[in-house]
Amino acid sequence: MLYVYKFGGTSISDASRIKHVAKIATDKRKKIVVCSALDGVTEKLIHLAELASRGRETDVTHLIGEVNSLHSTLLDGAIASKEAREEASKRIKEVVEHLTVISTACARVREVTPKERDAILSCGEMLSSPILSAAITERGADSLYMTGGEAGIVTDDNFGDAVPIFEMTYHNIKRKVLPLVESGKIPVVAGYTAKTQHGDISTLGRGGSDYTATLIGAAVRAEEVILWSDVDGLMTADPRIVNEARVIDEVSYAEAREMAMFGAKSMHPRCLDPAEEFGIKVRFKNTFKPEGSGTLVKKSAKISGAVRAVLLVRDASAITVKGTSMVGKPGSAASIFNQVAKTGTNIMMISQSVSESNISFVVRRDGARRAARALERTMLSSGELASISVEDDISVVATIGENMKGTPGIAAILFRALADRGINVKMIAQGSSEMNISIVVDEIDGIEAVRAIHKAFGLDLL
Amino acid sequence: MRLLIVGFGNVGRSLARLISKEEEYSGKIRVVCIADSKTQIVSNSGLDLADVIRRKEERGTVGDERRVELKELIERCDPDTVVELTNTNPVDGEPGFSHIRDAIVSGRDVVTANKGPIAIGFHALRELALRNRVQLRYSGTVGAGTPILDFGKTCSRGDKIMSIKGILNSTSNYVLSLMESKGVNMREAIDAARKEGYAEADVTMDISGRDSALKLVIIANHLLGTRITPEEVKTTGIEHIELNAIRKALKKGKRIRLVANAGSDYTVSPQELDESDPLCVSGPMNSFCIKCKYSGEKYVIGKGAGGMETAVAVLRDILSIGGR
Ligand SMILES: NC(=O)c1ccc[n+]([C@@H]2O[C@H](COP(=O)([O-])OP(=O)(O)OC[C@H]3O[C@@H](n4cnc5c(N)ncnc54)[C@H](OP(=O)(O)O)[C@@H]3O)[C@@H](O)[C@H]2O)c1
Repeated sequence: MLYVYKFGGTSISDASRIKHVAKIATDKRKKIVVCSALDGVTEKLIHLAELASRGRETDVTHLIGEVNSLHSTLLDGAIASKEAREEASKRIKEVVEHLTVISTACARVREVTPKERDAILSCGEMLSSPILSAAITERGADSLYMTGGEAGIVTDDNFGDAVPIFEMTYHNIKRKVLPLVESGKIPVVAGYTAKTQHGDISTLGRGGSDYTATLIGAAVRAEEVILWSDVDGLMTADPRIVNEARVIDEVSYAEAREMAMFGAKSMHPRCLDPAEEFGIKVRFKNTFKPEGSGTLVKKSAKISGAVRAVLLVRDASAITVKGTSMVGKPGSAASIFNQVAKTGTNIMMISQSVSESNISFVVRRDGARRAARALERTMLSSGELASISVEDDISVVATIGENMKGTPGIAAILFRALADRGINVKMIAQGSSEMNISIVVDEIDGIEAVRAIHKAFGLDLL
Repeated sequence: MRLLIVGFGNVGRSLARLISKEEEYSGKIRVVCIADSKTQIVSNSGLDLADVIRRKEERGTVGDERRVELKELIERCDPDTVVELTNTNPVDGEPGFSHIRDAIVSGRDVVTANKGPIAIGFHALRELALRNRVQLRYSGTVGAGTPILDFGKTCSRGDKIMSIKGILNSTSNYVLSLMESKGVNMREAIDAARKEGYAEADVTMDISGRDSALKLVIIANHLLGTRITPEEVKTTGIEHIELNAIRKALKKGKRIRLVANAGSDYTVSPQELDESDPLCVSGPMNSFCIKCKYSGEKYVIGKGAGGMETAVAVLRDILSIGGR
């Protein structure tokens, strides 16, 4: 039986945490470890790429120095023996040199291509993972560090959000990584990183380390993929707003995906796909409470109750478009959503008025301006749309559960609970999967709405 | 069409002969590069195939220049199809696997008769071809010139294939048939097979059942949509079959054959077949039985080995890509 352990950035953010994680990683199980970048480092690298694209060479050099010393200090603090440090120290030096060469070259021409950006962003995991590997080695295990590309993860050339070439990836991992584990080694793979079929560095998109873990899990038919982070698991609600929120024991792949979409955890949207395809169990666990059992995602999960979780998306915006010319014209909605999708903005919910002259949809606030501008540039100027308006002070409340489908009366309970507290519902949508009911409320009502629904369905009592 | 042929042994040379002999093909197909294990020869306007065959047979190599990487050759002579005909490696599929991968990644269509990489990396190579929008054809890997894969695909349209059974290795079948008809032991039968050109110097792959297992994997993955690997085929060879057992079976009206089976499980093993069973062929023949859910059993019988037979399958694949 084989396991994949993936550790998130906060789990390894200081020397004592690295040691703690190394201890978890050296339990008796045969395993492959996947490592994220240190907390905040990816953001620094994004900033680095930004500075480089504006030609700010001095700032670039300065920031690289900062990233370098962050990791070197951590290495010195976490690893006592000089020998164990040596290999990691060499790797860090190589990555820093590589980072310096690329980003200064970019800074000189004031341009960062998507390919170069991936080369820059991938450095976070390539700096943290050798440190964890060294810490595991220091505990007497035989650990070996490798990049995602070295482990065999191959993608297309869609830099920034590359799509794995799945079967080839599985083939490679089975041949490169599996024999290592079978001979008793603990490979530590830099998450998020991959390489294209032509050998260039690529990355798997936001939250990509989870994806790395499930791809490896699928390839080696792991017993379980454990995603270790700083939260207890998937919860019935955000514990910061609902005191009675609790950890959900088991969820289906579909529920987990739905919950991730509404921000239960910043998870890669496709990361559960490889696990689901091969029936690999995925567990969310808290690094700092390893004794807890966390949340298990699996096929035919034990599902109690129709409603499983109530989630709040605070930073949402509603975009409403009006257009007379689109009345009765087929495909107009499609082209609107198409324009929005092109900006990389994910649409959370949609509602259309009966007259069809009005479509409202909700996106995350940070993408709203971009989406609206794209529509202005294209469809407003071409006369297809008459007006576009953006409403910012709203929140989305998503009520999620696989068994809501076919359970009568859910909506009645939900709206009664809101009405009882005098909360005004501005927009309603049911996901096509019938696995969620999303409503839009004024931002100030958001928290109260979540508490009301959580209580109405007895989620605090389970 | 511009072809790059890598591997110029029995099948490679037969293919070259076939193309140069028939004007219908030589007009359409230009071979711009041929590589063997040590050298290569390149001509952008098309090689004189008879000349290259002669060189290879006289001097052992096709060219004078030391082998360079396939990717570089592709860049140099810009073929649209790479034909992979190197030796089958049952362990990791190399060098064929890398050749096919590199050709696909360089955006070229690929035709191969090499079982190793297709059996070992079936889904990996197929997905890679799909994602790179190129064709990957391998009908010569099974049944030599007998188009079993295409036949099976046709059977599966409008029906469902439930199981596939067959005699997939000519050498072992020839050996068993000879023991049966001439009353010789296995060693003598193998020697005779070599003399007749039905066995290579090394017969381990054939006798151990591994060659049949590789072919079974290709057939099952191609026709049943499974994802099995050669290790998952329970394989027993014929190395321990004694003349006595063959004689005993004969008395009962049965013959011992090395049968591969894909259905509820995947096996290659010696089995006693009824003499009257259409599957029960003798000599260097292959036989296949495809059992469909609604339309029942269908049999295909044909010669299962030979350089020219395999070259025909390869040419068929090349032409179907060209005519696409
Ligand atoms: N013969 C059949 O009946 C038959 C039937 C079905 C399928 N096949 C398959 O077809 C393939 C070819 O069979 P064959 O009978 O032609 O084999 P073969 O006579 O042994 O020829 C193999 C050829 O591959 C070349 N080669 C080996 N390594 C190479 C490398 N790294 N780069 C370039 N060339 C390399 C060899 O070069 P050198 O000449 O320099 O040694 C030789 O020319 C095999 O995979 C076989 O399993 C054969």
